[in-house]
Amino acid sequence: MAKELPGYGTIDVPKDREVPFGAVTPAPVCVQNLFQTSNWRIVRPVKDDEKCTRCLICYLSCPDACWVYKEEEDVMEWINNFCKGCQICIQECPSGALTAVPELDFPDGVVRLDKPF
Amino acid sequence: MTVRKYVRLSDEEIEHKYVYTNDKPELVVITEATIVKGIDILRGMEKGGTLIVNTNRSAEDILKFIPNANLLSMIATVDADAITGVRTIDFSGSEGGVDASGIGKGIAAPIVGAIAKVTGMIKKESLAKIVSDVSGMERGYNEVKIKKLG
Repeated sequence: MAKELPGYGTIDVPKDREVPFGAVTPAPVCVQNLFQTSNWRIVRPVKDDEKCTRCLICYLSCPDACWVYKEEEDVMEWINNFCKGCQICIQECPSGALTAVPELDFPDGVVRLDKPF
Repeated sequence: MTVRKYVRLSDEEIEHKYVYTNDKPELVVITEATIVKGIDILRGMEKGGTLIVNTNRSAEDILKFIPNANLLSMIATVDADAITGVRTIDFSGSEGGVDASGIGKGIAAPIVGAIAKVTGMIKKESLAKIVSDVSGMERGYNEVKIKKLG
């Protein structure tokens, strides 16, 4: 279809190449279950809800998107199957609500895959 | 990310240094205890094998995480981190392994001493000739805790 661009003229955009205004598309949100890297970590972050101010810096700084803010309960939730124990969230937390605890202190929380990657 | 390495021991000189893997290990040595929780470390082992773990926890704490522990006849723990105190993680790229050339540096020395004590595959005197950190190797030899299983 012909699109009118001010100052440029008219260009012909094919139907399958049309995008919404500003090229804003919803981000694809999906989780794959084949390569869960929870067995990489040696320490895991343990949060203290009293000190947490819900600033969301752990959510912003996590490279694997392993912190989620739960609106209804007003807590931060930690996603265990992709955390690799990089400790960036522990370093960045401004109120010191996160501590690094060795993974072997917990009886579960690691996904065992059939094949080691 | 876990890495698997294989060791070859021989009384004569090893001339063929091809890539060598062992699918049915009798001895498995673990340098970081946390991996027992995430992968099947005894994969391919037949009944009656041995496991050596570098940890300061007790053998029962480690056995809790191994579902196929009935394959084992012996488990040994050695606290190599306390013996040498060396395991720095720095972000300059070397990850603590500042001089990777050499046998028996850092936490390898007590672990190798523990292998000599537990299995007898290699003699302590032979190790003392080639290992860089002989005192760490001696301490690993003395301080390993062995537990026989059923």
